[in-house]
Amino acid sequence: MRIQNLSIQNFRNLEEVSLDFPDGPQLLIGKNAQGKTSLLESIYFLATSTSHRTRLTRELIRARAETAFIKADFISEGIPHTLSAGLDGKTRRFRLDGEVLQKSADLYGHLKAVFFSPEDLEFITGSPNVRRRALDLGLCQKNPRMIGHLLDYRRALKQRNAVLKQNSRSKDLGNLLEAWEPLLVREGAEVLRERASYSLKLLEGASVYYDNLTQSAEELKGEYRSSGTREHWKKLDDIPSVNALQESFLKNLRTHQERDQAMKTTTCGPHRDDVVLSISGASAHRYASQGQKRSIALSTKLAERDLLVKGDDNPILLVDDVTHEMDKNRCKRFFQNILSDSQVFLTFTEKTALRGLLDSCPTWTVEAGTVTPGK
Amino acid sequence: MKPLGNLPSLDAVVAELGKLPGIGPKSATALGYHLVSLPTERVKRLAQLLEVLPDKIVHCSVCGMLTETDPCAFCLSPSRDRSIVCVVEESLDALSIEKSGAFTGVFHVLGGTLSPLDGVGPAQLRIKELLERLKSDEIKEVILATNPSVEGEATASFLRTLIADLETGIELSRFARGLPIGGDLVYTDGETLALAIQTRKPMENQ
Ligand SMILES: [Zn+2]
Repeated sequence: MRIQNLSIQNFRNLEEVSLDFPDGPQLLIGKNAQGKTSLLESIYFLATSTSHRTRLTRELIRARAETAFIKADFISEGIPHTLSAGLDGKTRRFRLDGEVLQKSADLYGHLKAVFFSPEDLEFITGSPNVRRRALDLGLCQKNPRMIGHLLDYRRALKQRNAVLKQNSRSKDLGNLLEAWEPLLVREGAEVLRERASYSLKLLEGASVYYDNLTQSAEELKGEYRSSGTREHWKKLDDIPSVNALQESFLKNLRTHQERDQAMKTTTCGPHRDDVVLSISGASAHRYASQGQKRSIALSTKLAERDLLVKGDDNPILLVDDVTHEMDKNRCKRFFQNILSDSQVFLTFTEKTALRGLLDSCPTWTVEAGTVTPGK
Repeated sequence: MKPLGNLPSLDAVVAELGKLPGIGPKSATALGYHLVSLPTERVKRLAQLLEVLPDKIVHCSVCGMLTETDPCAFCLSPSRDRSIVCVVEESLDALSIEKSGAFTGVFHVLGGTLSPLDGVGPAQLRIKELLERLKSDEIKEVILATNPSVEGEATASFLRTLIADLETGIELSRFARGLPIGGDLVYTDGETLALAIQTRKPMENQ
């Protein structure tokens, strides 16, 4: 997968950008807050309709502008496509080859991208919902039909929670809660099975990269903890069939109905799941050093890249300022892993950080919301 | 909505038009200016028609369908099969099913779906009326034809429990999931809808 041309108007702090990308890794050089990250975000936004920096559409639009626009001409599986996003304060409209995409589910899977960001450390240090969000973004890019299941699950969950909040004394309460169960259980089991499989494949891949990056005897491992079934899974074979998951999730929903009523929210289900990482048996969340966490984050993203590969088609890699905390050897091994990919965008605050490795790559200077070739 | 300047009467009309579904600020303004450009008689006629609309159209006291005569034509017709009731969300859904030509029974219009997030519970829908209707011996089968959306599915599931609790032995069925997922009955073509009706499946008891 390769973007040939990218145009941006008023997205984040970028005012007007139009770039044709020659072959090779693209280096974006600039001081902080000049627009390097915004450029990577614009590409990730075309892939997923999300930004890791904000959930508010308004904040994606440059200050004092009313609308923002992004358009990319790209090649996917040998075929040229054009994907665009138009935003005003409230709505986002995506077009693929000129046709409006009606649902956000239709967006996923066309332009695939993996975002390497300094904030990836939160995958290790953050709360479970940070990990679930990261996993779901990867999963939905790999398997676009999952977005529909996720949205239906969340919708049914919100409705059931609304019943729990409103009807504490209604005589129909049991029936009103159970009305949402078939959907919760059907969509929940689908999400659970696919997300757990994806997570375990991701962790398996990450473990190999961790070895390669750190060249140490430490072992990165992980498991998927399912709240809806009260089970922990370490390998793919551990995950039960969809039918078994439905049965077990339904049983737990019923068992915890009273607790749910007391807490006024649904206390078990895929929305409460987590993945737990460990290094040589010790919890990474608690005991890993900053350097180890950085290596886990990079390894996980490299594994995500591998899962999004389809045939000869690699996802686009967006690498935002992740190397400045790493020693030279880890940096070198990381670059060896990514530089031969179809297309890589790398941001740096200064050129001295590159030294030799990246000297021949196309370079762009990012300053005050504009991007110019060379430096 | 931004005021257009010194035309408060037109601003007020544009503001109302803008509240209608599918009409954004731009179309509302365009429609408003269009109305002003029309011959006076046409605008007045439209106004008269709108004025009496709420009094002319009522919900059928039997099935809840929008009608100008109560009971509605479906409920009065001697040729409809009264042993089978098709439960739908809105009158428009019933019309889509009717147009498919594959259904000869009678309808029951709920007036929406359960949606606790929007404050819609059983009391806001014509559910009590449905259960009353089902107590008559005439009815042998109920098709729960709410939309295959999250709320439509939950409403069908809720009704299934209530109807089973009546212990009338009424058969319950639902369209097979051949309908486009998340699709609206109103936007489904007649052929697909006819097939969905013919291939409806008994709802399993969970
Ligand atoms: Zn009627």
